[in-house]
Amino acid sequence: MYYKLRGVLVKEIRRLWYNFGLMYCQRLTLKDFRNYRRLDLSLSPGLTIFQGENASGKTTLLEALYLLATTKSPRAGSDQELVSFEAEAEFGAPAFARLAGTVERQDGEIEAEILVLRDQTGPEVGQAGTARKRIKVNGTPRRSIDLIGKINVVLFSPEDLDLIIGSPSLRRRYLDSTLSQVDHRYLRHWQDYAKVVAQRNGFLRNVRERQGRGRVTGRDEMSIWNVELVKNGAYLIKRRQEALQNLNNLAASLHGQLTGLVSALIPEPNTGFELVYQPSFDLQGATDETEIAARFEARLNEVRSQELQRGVSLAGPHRDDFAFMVEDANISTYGSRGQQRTAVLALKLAEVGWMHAQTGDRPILLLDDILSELDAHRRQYVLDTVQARAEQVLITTTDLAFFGDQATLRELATLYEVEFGTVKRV
Amino acid sequence: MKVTAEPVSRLIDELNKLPTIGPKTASRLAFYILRGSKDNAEALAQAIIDVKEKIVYCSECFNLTEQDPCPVCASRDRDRTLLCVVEEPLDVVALEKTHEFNGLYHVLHGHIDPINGIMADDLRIRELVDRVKLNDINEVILAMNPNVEGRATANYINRLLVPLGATISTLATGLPVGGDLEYADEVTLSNALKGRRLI
Repeated sequence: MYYKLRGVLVKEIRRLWYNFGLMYCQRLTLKDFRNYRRLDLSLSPGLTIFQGENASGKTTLLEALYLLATTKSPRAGSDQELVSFEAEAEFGAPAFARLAGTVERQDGEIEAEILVLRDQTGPEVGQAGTARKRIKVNGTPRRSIDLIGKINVVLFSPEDLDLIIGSPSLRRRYLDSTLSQVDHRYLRHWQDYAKVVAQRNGFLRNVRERQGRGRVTGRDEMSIWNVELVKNGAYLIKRRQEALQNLNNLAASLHGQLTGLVSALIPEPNTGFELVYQPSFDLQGATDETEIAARFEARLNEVRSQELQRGVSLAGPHRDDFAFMVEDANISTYGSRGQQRTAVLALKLAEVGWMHAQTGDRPILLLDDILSELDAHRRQYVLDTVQARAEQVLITTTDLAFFGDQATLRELATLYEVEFGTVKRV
Repeated sequence: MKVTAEPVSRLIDELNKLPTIGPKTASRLAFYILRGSKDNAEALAQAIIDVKEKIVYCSECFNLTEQDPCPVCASRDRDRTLLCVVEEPLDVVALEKTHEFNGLYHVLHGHIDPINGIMADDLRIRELVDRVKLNDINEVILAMNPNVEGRATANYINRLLVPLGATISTLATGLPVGGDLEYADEVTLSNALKGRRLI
């Protein structure tokens, strides 16, 4: 009885404490992950800085945490590259990389583990091979969908600029992975939607090929794929629109502050910054799921013959995009590099607040060498903002000079030196 | 110079054609057969020939059977007004194990899967429609797998059967028996909630 009561009390006290939205990674262990043979790193809340030369393995640390949160690497390339070249197959088991993280959260501590196994019968060295991932949550084997969303991170990296200047598929991927972190239904619908698009394209191609042989398939068979496409797609569009609207509301004022900083440290009240969702067909202002579905269905009827002719699905969230606008001009074409950087930074900072609002947890922030691209004022603004909004901020840099006065820095932050796959506290 | 004798490499090539069998497993199996007794090898060869020669499709339900019609379709104890539509013969085995179902089956031999070139026409769907039309069937249970392709297939069949006036149902989706509510994902749980029933 006593122990039971004490257990409840302890739990209650912990819950109160966690209600502050505390989320941080306590411990990160790596084995044969990229250039790390072995690493066991204890981390604390607050600001942690990893300093080191290029290609020393700083980014890899942030990548590991991102991977544990999303089960995907932010870097392009095959999963096989995640396994160290030096990792060897032992006792008949394939060479593998292991990454594990212990993370404190509002809902209690979680231990996430990912094994990346390099396939034994893979192709020759130098060729892109295959790899499999095994996921464990608190020691029990789980599917990736069970891990995604348990740990929330926001990664800031120099490649974020591609969100503005890159292809629409990058912007879609950004929305998809960001939403999947906070909404499991989104992830499910997204996975199903991708399958439906592939099947529907297969259907359209088959119809084209079989028509020549006198085997025409009926309208019914097309409409079953339309039903699945609309059902999953309408939810994706609705959530993307909502998320972008929320991000836009947060980003607009952040953009004003970032823009005003250059000269006067006084925020520019209205910079005309706007994130605009660009659907592949006219939604006519629909925001409700049923309305979107109705518009989507109508559009599918309009493009039917065109789709049959071309053999691909022409309408839907897999063709949508969004744009960064300043004063009604799309800055991917009209903005300077500096403007583009400010815009993407505003979006990423907005993402931090958005994720907190969606999950109740303040996400872990990973800043990969982004300070070197900013001037002193903006650098300070970013550092202040991220520290105010997260329990734990991990930053990589080549030069500690970006952080101003060294003596105060040592008081504020935990410093590590990274060199050839080893991490030393300094 | 050839290291492996021709009959051995031919066996390896044949085994390699089987699903999930790569070149390494194929050679391991081939050498296992080679080292084993002649009786075992002949039994294996005969079993393979037998399934091809003796097994036919049941002309009513299209399940695999040694005699046509199959034991289920020929049985007098089954409820002939109840029809359960499944994707594969193995699904019949699974459903039979429950001892809960006493109707007849209809095996489609796959699901609609355009990526792999399988359209509605390639399945036993037309035969199903004829069967429902010609026989006195009260209820059709669509027991497709609960994934995108299974749903699409069930949806398609549903559209064809509705005009014929039979009751059409699908299997419930939701929590696994012995599972933990706490660990169920949101989608499964909300399905279970939608499909709740009075006790």
